[in-house]
Amino acid sequence: MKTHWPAIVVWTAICLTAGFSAQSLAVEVDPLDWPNWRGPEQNGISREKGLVESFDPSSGENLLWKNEEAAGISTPIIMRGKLYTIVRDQPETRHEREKVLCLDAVTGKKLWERAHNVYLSDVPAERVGWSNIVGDPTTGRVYAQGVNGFFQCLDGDTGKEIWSRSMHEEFGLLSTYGGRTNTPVIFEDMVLASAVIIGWGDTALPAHRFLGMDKNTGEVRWLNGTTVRPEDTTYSTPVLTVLGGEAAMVFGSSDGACWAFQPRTGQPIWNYKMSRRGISVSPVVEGDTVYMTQAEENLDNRGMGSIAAIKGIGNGDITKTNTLWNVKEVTAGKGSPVLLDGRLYVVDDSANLHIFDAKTGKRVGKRPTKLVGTMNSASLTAGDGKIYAMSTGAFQIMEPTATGVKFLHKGRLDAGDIIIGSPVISHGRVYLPTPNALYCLGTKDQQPSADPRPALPKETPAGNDDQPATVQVVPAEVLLAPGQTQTFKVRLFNDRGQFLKESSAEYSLQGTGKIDNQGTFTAALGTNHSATTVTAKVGELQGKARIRVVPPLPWKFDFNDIHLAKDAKSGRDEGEPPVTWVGARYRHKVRDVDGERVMVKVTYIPKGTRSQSWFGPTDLHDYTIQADLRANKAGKLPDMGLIAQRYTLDMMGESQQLQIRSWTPQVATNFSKTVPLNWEADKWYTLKFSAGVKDGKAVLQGKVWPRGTQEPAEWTVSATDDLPNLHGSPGLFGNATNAEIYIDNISVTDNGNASSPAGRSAAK
Amino acid sequence: MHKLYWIAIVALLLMISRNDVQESAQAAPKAKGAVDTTATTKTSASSAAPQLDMTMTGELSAVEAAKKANSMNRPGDHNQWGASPLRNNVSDAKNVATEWEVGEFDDETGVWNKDSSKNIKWGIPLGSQTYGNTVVANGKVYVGTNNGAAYLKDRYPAEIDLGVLLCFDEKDGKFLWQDSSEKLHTGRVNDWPLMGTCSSPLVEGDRVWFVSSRGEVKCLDANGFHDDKNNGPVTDEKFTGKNEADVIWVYDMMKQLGVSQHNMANCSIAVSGDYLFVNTSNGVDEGHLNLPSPRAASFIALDKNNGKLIWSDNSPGPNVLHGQWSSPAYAVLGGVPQVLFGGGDGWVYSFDARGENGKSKLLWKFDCNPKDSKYTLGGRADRNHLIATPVIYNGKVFIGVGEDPEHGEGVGHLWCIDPTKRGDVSPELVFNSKDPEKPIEHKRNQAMVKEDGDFARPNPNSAAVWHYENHDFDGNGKISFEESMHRTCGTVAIANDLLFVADFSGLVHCVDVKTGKPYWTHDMLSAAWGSPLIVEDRLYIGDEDGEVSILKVAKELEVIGEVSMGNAVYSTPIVANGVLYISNKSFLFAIEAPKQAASVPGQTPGNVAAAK
Repeated sequence: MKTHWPAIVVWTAICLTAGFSAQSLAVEVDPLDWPNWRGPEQNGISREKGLVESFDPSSGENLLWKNEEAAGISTPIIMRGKLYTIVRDQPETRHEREKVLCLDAVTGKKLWERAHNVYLSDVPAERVGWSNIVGDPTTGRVYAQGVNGFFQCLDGDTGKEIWSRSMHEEFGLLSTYGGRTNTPVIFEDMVLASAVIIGWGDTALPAHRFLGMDKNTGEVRWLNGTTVRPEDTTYSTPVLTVLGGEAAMVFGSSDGACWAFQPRTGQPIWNYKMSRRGISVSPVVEGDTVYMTQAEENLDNRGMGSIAAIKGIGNGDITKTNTLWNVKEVTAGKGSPVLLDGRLYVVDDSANLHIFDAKTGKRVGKRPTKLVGTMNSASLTAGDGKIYAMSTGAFQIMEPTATGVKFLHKGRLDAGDIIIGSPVISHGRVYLPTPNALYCLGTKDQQPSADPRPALPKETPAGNDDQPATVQVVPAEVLLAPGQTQTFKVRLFNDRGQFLKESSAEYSLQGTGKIDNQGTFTAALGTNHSATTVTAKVGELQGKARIRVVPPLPWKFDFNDIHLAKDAKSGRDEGEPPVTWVGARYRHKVRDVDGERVMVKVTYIPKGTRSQSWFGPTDLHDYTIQADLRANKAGKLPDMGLIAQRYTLDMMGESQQLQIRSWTPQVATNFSKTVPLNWEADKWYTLKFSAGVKDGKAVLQGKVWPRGTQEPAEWTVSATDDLPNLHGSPGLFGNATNAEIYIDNISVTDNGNASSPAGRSAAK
Repeated sequence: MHKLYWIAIVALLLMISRNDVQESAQAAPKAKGAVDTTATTKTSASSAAPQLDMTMTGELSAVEAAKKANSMNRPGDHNQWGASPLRNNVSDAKNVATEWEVGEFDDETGVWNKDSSKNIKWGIPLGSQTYGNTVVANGKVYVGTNNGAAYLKDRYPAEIDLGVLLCFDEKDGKFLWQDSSEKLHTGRVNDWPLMGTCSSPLVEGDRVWFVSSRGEVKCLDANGFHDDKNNGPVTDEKFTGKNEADVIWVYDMMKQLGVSQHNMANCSIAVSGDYLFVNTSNGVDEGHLNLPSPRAASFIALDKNNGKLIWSDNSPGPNVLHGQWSSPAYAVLGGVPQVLFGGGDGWVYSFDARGENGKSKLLWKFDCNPKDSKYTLGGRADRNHLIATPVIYNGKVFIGVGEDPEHGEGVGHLWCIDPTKRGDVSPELVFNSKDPEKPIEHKRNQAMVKEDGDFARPNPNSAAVWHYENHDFDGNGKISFEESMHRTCGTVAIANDLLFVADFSGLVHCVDVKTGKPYWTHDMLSAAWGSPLIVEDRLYIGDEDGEVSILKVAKELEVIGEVSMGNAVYSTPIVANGVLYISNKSFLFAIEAPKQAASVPGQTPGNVAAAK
């Protein structure tokens, strides 16, 4: 069913895309849609009128419908008459997964769903659906970042996959128990996704990194991040805006700073340091002023939490120069604020509403206003002169007054758990996501109406500056097979990060392979796993792209060719793991142990002693990975294992078990197989893990035996997963928190299964 | 027939409880690293065998117990968490302040303006986060925090994260010394950033014992290096300046027991004679399901003189749900010296404090959760574990269930337990239809799974005296949020047969200690992490908004006052030598009523009864 719009609603796109690219101008965009979780203006504000002022879940007053399948922690979006959210699929069953769910926004009826396995992840089921869907109003497509790092572009009408990427296997996204998952954003023809990434080569050190991807293909245009070795994972959604005539994405980062990047190039514009811990709140931007809040330690060691009004024009570190005002000891680290009629409304993590004059930072009212409950994770939403807030398990509607707010409505919801999602407003309806149900509030006969949106600040026209300043080489990151070709494009941007033109360039390579002057690269033949950097020179400027070349199976790694050099810090002779491995360097070093050159999973790094790493393509299946493993003797035994086809085979030290699993926190309830296994430190073992697909199920077999002895004929552990992962990159798992792990003689071989040869459907 | 049936059950129970003891004793850690085994021989062989305090009985009043606990200190001291091993935070001090103002802090520098304060004897900056509860003994004040205040800034500027134990002069708050625990290299799984030292020390004479953020039991010299002596056996401290801690001995629970504490080691040590009792905090790993050290001890007894292990026990074993952060209590109950531990599996365990042949000896255990309750992550879970400390009052044991506060308010249960029964004294026992007469083993996430044929029966040997979950105060047939007990990490305080506890929802509950019937609840509108103090006829309790509520100890709710402390009060107020101590996240205030203007009990200062 389609909604009928009153005449006042004009199909237009001018507001949304003003100042940005011309590409999207041709498409009609519904201004009453809510295409990302913070709304069309990315600030929690709706211009609609005639919205509900009360709600009674027990009597059903102003309740249009509720949908329990759409319950969760995600904030839904509304686009083209449909509601999209990401939630638990079949919660608390053996077949639980994560899914993108599409409902009819008017009736709440399910239109389609698309589920995926939460493979190779530490995120528990209760935190599935952490992030929010983003819609592309110009194409109707939706984008979803799963908690484990599975990223999808889906057709909004059917849920059919347009493209997907496995961000943990491909780039080294960190998927942790805390569940914090970032929400992607659409900008022009790009989708921007982020995470703490521990990658390969020069991205091997952990950092909060963004991937600027072609929204139509998933091709990477840029990959860039903030300060390395951040303290936390975070989930601040960038706001796309224009600051001083320059397009900017403004976000809170894992490193404790608020940053502005150029969205088209990923070049940093400025940063404003606030805390030694990460920032998860999304900023509010009004004009050139950026408002950001955080709840952790302030950098001047003065208590916890601060609200900063930042003059968003500048370069580099603007911490000392660009503070308009700064209020300390307000701990708002979860919900994002709204700015309404010159006042900034902020809810702290204990559910107190603080109001400030946005210009001066002066507090409105003597004391904060208490919302219902003791915790707050949701963000504020405003519309029709009212503020909608969900705290702990409650919902309230407030109206600003001279000295603060007055409550129009205040009451508990049958939420079942902490509310994390935020209210959403679209077409006269207010949607409340809670852990028990998604509520749709409104009146049956309402006629949606809205004030026009304020015009967005405009970028300085690109024509004012046609001087190239940044060279982008696309794809910025690619995985190839030997002999495979890839044509790179060179795109030029001016100093403000505006696209000027595609360009020819003078290409050079660091590493193997060939490239012609049209930018077509051919990977070297052979069996090496290697990395090559393409440098494209345009005049005095240059840009780079990174290539990993990974051959077909079989593979063998014995580390004997890896060069060791004295490490300045440890004083030991050490080398680096293979450059092409994702998530391996930083967490491992190559060393000689008892005369044998091995890779060591180190214990001394502050984070990442428990980690996964991956060797190559994600579309491999029906293969066997084998390695020699040894635990260094320490107080406790480590856990050490192998990854095949998105399953882990883990020799668990302290538990003295051998376990096959994929979704770690759910082994008790979802697929896993565990058998007892006695093993000890200071002794080499050979671990073998075979994964394949048979009759639509994953068939997994593992065995372990003392190295140098006869391989046993029988498998030590076997399992069949009827909710299978059908392909995935080979890799390693290890928990060296308590003791080092030595790894040697890794091989990956084809299972020789004629009906299902180990192979790659397409290189990405 | 009926009678025979019950006799059979009881017999079974006795067998089971005996088996439990044997199993837990066998499961004492072996061959896992450098486990100290010398202590067991010492206890039986040495002439200096550690002795228990058999006079600390469960019938003592809180005030008598506190006086006894301070027999090596000054009589008005507060030398440990909960005032005594009975853990009932009640003081008999007079003229304790009911009104004060913490005053102003400079916006730019953060410097406190004492002149703007009222009834504040002194105030001292702490780190940025403070969860340790204040202890006062022999003229010194101790508090655990993080390194935000950087008292040793030459060595450890504020940018370096530490767990610290600070020692100040009681009379003026002058800094004396600091024990510094560098963060564990294993990171947040064992040692959460910026959480500081969470435990409270125990002080007797010139000795201080506490659990560090590195999972160590440390014995320090109360005088530090101010006595110009480096007391040992540990004498190889790298830094021996006056502002450093003089370490006597260290027992490293991670190294010596193989413990892997989840996020933080927290235990405020209980003492009896020569015995120290410690909950090791053993818990889950980053994956939050797997216990990296399922065989490591959870509960231990050490010789306070030398740190030797006397006995250990790992009863919760693989059933630990998350972490174990509950502190033990001790008393002679029913003639038997009992040490009570709150387990990470939601059970209270009581052991014979003496142990037996160097091993633990379980007396009874009690599941504080309904058998069909289920543990999941978040607010929905109705199976909880224990973070609060058991409290002993009139020979009975009192405790409420809780969870990591970040997981939400959830549902709560408050129990009164009779500690004279033995074996599994839970309110119910679980059986399976396959063998309906034999209680089944406890299952970690859900003790009774109906789909598997499990069912529960009342336990004829139940030690539950009463259970408080909610009460329909307004008699409308519905239980509202405000009529329910929620999760708590707060410990109860009891006086005049009235029990008080605050929960994560910010509700203070007043419950009849004999019947479990609640008289009232009071909504502070802000989460409580700390526990109440009772002094004279008043209750003091802090909340996350930084308010301290002062309520009357009475069957009718009366709000005497609400005082703002400036930022969140996660700690528990205490009184020592007539002075009230309250810390917020970053400051400790010594609060003293003016000598002249003694506040008369029952007379409320103006302007205070106004509800928020």
